Amino acid sequence: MSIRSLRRVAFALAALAALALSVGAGWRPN
Amino acid sequence: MKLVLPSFLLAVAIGYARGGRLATLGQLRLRWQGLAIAGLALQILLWPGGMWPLIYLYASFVILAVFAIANIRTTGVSLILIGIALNFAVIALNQGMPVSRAAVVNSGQASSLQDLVDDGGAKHHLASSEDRLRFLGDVIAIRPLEQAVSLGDVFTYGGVMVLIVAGMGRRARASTVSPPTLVGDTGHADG
Repeated sequence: MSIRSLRRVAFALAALAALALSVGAGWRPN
Repeated sequence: MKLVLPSFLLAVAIGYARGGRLATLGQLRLRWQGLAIAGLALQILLWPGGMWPLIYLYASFVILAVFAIANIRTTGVSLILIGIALNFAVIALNQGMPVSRAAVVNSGQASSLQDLVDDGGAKHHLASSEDRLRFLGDVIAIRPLEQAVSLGDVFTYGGVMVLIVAGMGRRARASTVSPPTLVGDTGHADG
């Protein structure tokens, strides 16, 4: 996997993680 | 992160088991990804000391809904949008997510009950009889992860997992490709 491809995957996963954490982290969000 | 990491790892594992590749996920074109980050950033401002916590919380959900609607054609996002709607409905009606005492205890977090009462923040509070749509609150205990989650959370995490698995693609199997039909092969079956 190229660095560029890796960056794209990391950014997509970061956006999805942010979305999941924001919408529903449940109690307790740690 | 207790919920995010296991669900993401499971989705990636399923993706690989289906013949997909993580690199393919990089080709996924989600529109306005920055909105998802902005939604989280707004909620970070909810920590004690933050201003107008409820307004930030509501604004965060509106931003996340816009992000989901902008990407509604992407596999899994419709589930995420349902999750956003369910959680936002119960949070807006009750000025925060009601967390069931039973779910906290059953998820092995009995020791955190007092924290929830004293300092649940704007997003969470211990459920009471005054809360509406309590069944949409954090009522599902996940003991192995020590988490109490809501139905909306289940839809959201399910949708994210579906999105990851689908986004990783699937290797086409040669055996599933039908050979070209020969003209002379037709018409013999009926004899």
